[in-house]
Amino acid sequence: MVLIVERTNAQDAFLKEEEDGWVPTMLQANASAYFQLLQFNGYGIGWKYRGFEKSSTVTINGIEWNGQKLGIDLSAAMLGIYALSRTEKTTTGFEPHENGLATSAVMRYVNLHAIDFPKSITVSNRFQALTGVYQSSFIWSTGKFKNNWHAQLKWQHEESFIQNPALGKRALNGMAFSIDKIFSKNQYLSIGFWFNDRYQTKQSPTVMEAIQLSGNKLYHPGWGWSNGNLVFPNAKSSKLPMMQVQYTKNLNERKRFQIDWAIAMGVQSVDGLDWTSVKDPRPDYYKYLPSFYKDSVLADQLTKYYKEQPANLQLNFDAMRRVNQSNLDKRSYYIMSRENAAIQLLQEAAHYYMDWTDRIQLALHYNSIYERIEKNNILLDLLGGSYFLNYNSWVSDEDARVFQFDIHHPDQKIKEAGSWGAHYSVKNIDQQMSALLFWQSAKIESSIGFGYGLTFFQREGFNQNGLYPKNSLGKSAWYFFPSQKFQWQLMYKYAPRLYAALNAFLHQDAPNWNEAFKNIAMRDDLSEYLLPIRQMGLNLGLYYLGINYKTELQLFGYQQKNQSGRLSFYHDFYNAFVQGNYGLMHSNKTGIEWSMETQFASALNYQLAVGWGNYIIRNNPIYTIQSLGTDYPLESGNLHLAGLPETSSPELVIALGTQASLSNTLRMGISSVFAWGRKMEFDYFRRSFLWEKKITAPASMPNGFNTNLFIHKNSSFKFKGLQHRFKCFLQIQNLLNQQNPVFAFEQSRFDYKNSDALKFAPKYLLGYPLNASIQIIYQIN
Amino acid sequence: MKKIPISFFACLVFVLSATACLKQASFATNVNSKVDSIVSIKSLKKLHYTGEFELIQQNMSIEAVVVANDASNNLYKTISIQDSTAGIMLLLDGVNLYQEFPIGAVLRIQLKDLILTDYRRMVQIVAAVDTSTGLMQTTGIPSPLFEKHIVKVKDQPNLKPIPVSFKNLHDSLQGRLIKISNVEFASADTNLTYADKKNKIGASRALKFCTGGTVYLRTSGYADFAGIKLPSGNGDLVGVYSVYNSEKQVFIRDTSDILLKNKRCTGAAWLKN
Repeated sequence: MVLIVERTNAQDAFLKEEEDGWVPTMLQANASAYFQLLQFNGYGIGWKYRGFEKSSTVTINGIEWNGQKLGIDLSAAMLGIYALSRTEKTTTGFEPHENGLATSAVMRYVNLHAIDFPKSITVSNRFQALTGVYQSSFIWSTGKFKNNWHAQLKWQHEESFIQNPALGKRALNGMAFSIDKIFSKNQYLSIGFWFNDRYQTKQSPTVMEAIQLSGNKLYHPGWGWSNGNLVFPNAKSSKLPMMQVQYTKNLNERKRFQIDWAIAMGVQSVDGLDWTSVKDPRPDYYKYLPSFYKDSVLADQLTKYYKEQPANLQLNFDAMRRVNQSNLDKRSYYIMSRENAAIQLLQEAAHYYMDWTDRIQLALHYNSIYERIEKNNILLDLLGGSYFLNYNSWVSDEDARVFQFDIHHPDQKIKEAGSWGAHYSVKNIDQQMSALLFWQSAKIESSIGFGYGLTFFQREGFNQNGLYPKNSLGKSAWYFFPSQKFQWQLMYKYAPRLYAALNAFLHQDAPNWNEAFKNIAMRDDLSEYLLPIRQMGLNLGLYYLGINYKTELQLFGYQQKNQSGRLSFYHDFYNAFVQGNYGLMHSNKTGIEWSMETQFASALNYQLAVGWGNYIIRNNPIYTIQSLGTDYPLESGNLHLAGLPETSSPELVIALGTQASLSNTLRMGISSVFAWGRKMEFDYFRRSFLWEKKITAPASMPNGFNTNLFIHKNSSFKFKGLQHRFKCFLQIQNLLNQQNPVFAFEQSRFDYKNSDALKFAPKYLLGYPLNASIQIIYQIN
Repeated sequence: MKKIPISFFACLVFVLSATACLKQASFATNVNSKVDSIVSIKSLKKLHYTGEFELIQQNMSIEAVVVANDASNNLYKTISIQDSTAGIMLLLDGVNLYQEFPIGAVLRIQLKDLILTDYRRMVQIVAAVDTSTGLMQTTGIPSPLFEKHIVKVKDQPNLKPIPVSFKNLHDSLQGRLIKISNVEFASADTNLTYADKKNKIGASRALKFCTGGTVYLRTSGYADFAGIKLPSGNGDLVGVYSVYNSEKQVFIRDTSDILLKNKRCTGAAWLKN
């Protein structure tokens, strides 16, 4: 098995943006114009909110869903439920909220309450020309019916008609349901259920040389041909039904109690191509590209060959089948496999809100998570062979080191649908408590919040592998990590429309389970250099909220301590697979954001946002490189990272937007974003004290520029006492057809012997070119 | 009833017309349908002058069967092929070649743009030659171009080696699968291994014909069987004939090619060597 570093988070975000129709609604938005403009336009230029790598969290009916903490792909599981919900608040910059303490992520608070929606039937159809994705949905909102019940039902379907194989395919069948019951003015019950059967292929980043050879801006190597048919080996799927129950009781006019439960049980999986002891099948492998050959005639021959036949820059499944069938007993060296994650999740939250006095409010929160995730691999396709040997092999250019995945069943021959590889589970128990106190007067508002939590992890291995026979089988000890939080806000109101707010926070966070273990698939040891991550920071905001003019200025400074990380990779100096660990890394994030929005005669809105951020690593963290299996230390010392960028998010962004109401029923808008100072994600381990002098600084990426346009047309009429509405929403993305890399990164492999930075060249994922989608909605109520 | 304004349809028509312009791209693989003239390896080798290299510019092919590959790592980035007239080494810039080119596979090799050369008189087909350092450095056919140059035609599972006596070992047998009989390792070598596995250093071990004559068994230090002790008996050996300058050599695919289980022959014959 070859380890491939995937960039799934960024890809997920990219795909999510493509899925979600967006309608910027300025001046009605409760988040800043800066965030609003950038969250819809920023992905294509690699923008991350204040450089934070962690994705956003969403709190639905009082239950916080944090995909990174839970290890769940929430975008697939929850896709489409927002149509049944109302966003109550989006907070940024550690802004306290009565529903709980803030984190470094963007936090979105959502109410999934059928009572918020009037009686109606809505049918929606959307088509995107470039990807060929067709989406349709049907929503039935009952309004109030017998005994104060309200219900909503949504059915949704998505499929793709392949326009270009590089864009892959998607399929979705989903439903969402919510029902509310108002028992009295003081008691409220809400139940939500949703389920998506989702399949989506993934794009693979590649080197610029391969993109140029293909002559195709959409090129990526992660798909290919098999007997004339398209095959997409890299895909993810989700079948994870979720259910939430919320009960709210107003104890009296000043006290409110709310209890929420959530349950999720299902499977999410990731498909991929695997190979062992055989030629690398990736068409963009460095040895297959013209740049590998110093002989110019040979390089020219290869260039000509690829330019004449770009299909050879795709995966060749026919060749893989031939290899699998060429040996006597048809041992498969290439397979397609699925890593399944069987998820069982139970969450419970209790919230107590009290208006202590007219000026003081208290909120108490308790959140509990029990989660078990079991992972194993299922052999999907033997690609023409008869069996696959249950080996793990660390493949190098010239050699392969093989060990048994299960030493109790050596040389096990796996058939299709059989289980192979690492098989383990992890239990995650998380208990969090917090208290927030809010105080307000005519001029000053303040809040203070404390939180304490305990997080427990246990790994259980179901097979004993040959690489780590001592600590791969059975249950590990329970490891627990405390976390503490303190937050404070002071707001001074100069005038009703002009105020300043100062936020301060100090956190000591627990790792998530994926970070806690050194190599969770293979062994139960904790990661090296695992220390509580300490975060502290200040955020100063100045706000003016006028009737036709709104502006805000934010200054922020964050400091993070004790970050750590780990990576298994092939080290060309040692000619071996190694485990790299680093820790005690500290970073700073400072910046300034300014945004304004204004409107003229209520028909024309303008938005402008400017943000500058300096996100740097401020010390030289310690590190070790160990040989895989024996943990023999090969090198240790310091990584020379001080002063280097901590994130690839651009340093400077400027976003502009304008919307015009051309009539009562026709609205259009255009927005642009510019980005400067983009760096690619760089490899830490080649910048150790041993090699640093031979390494160049991380390369810059081209400045980003993206423009999107939308036109929104409404039409309505009454017929037989019912209101009929048509909405047409046309969206054109990347209007000026700019070719922006969404992200780029240095590979973990490096030519340590000759320090040739281009031997294992950086990889890129390019954003979509000019593309359009249309959505037509029909609603009756 | 209120009419739906025309601008709504204009919006719809615009998008539909934009998408209608998109056509499914053609990704069909080009197949080179040109049929080259097939020449024998023997006549191909006649084009070569020892120590030189010749670029093949004509459209011509050879059709040959794989007789040895890198399955046991005794060969590296090379396979040995033969037809009914001769054998030759084919250099391929890839690893695990045995999976694509198993022994017994009959290949048709398009020779245009390839180069004939030799390594210490052992004739080989390569893709590039670099003499800029003063030495002749060769590169095999790049892996992506395998499909351009090599087509697997059929299987020929029953490969029969040519029985050869010492006096018949000559260059015309280069690259061919041969069988030599009544041979044994020199007594001084029987305590040695095929090669130096630990230090990855190749070795030549003297194989003595009972009827007189010596041929050297050449084994790579990377071969899977490099660390195995040499057999001490007498018998038959199947292998590919090769040369290193004037030295006559043979290499085996794996240890099953050696059947030295008989009693060693008397020493009288050695005197004739």
